[in-house]
Amino acid sequence: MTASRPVPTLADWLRVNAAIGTLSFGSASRLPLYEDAVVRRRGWLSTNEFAEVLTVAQLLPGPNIVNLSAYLGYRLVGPLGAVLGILCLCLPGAVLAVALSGALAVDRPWVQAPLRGMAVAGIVLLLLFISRRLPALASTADPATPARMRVRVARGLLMAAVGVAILSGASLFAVLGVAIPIAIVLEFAL
Amino acid sequence: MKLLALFWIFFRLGLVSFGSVFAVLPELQRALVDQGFVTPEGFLQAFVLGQVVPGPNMAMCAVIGWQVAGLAGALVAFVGIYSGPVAIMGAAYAVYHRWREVTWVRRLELAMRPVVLGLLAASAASLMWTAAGTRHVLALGVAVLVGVLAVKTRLGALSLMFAGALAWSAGQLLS
Repeated sequence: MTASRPVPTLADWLRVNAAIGTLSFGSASRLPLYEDAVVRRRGWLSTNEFAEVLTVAQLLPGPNIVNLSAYLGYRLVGPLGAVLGILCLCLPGAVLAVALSGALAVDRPWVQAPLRGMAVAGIVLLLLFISRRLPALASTADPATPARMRVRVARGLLMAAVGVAILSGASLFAVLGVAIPIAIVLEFAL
Repeated sequence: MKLLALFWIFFRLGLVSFGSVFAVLPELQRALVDQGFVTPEGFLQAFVLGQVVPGPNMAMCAVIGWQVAGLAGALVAFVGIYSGPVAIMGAAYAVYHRWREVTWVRRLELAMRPVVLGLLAASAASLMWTAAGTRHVLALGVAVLVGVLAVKTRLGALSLMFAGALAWSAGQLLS
């Protein structure tokens, strides 16, 4: 079925990753960049195939954009494509960040005030991202049917419990060990 | 030994970093700041730099590695945080490709959302505590200002962060 679609070379694939790795800003806005590059502009995957890949990337641990790039790399080019693609995506930002950290020594007083202001702004952006995702607590696998009220309430309580547990000092691994089974039971049994 | 400890911290957190680096921020902070690897200010600096550079905001891990052990530390942190997810996606591709079209994968993704959102909310709160330091009122004021700007204007993430920097600096000079 995919035989009629164009197949990227390793160089094609690395160019896509390097472009997104050097030109993309903002955390949530980058997933559509892959869809644009891989589905709309080059036709390497169909819209449905892409949606499937995106679901796997969001489910499994790892930043969504990294998972997406790695999965697409394995699928379109092979293991080498996945590993080198991730390097092209992640290395430019990491190198730039380290270089900037050398230039801005945090022990200087004039760095402290803007640094704290920028951190607070970053946190506000995170809070806005969370608020945009909250409606997802009311959805089901079928877009036409919203979740029942008791499912919504249970999901809200689970979210609050996870947040409170982490803030009260529980280890992340312990919290996930308890919360993930509960989340699965909520989805499949309630 | 320090490099090995650093690798282990990043590698095992990479294995549970659902969605983004935000899912593991409180645990990272505990493992690195409370153990004395980096200062709270160093951690904030890494967070900010991760937000302003292009690419995944996990770039902050390379900055932390650099603060702990220079170039070797940056490399160890970089490889440590990304190797788990890349390996997991390879395994997922090998397995999932055989039985595609399974709706329970979508349902699992849906099931995980409240957990991930809870982790993100905890990150926002614990990081806010670190960022505020002793200046709680100033931090709240800057947060409200940036929030209003974000909702009422079309400013992008970078501009909003610079607005935050200006607002905190001005607030500190005035008080």
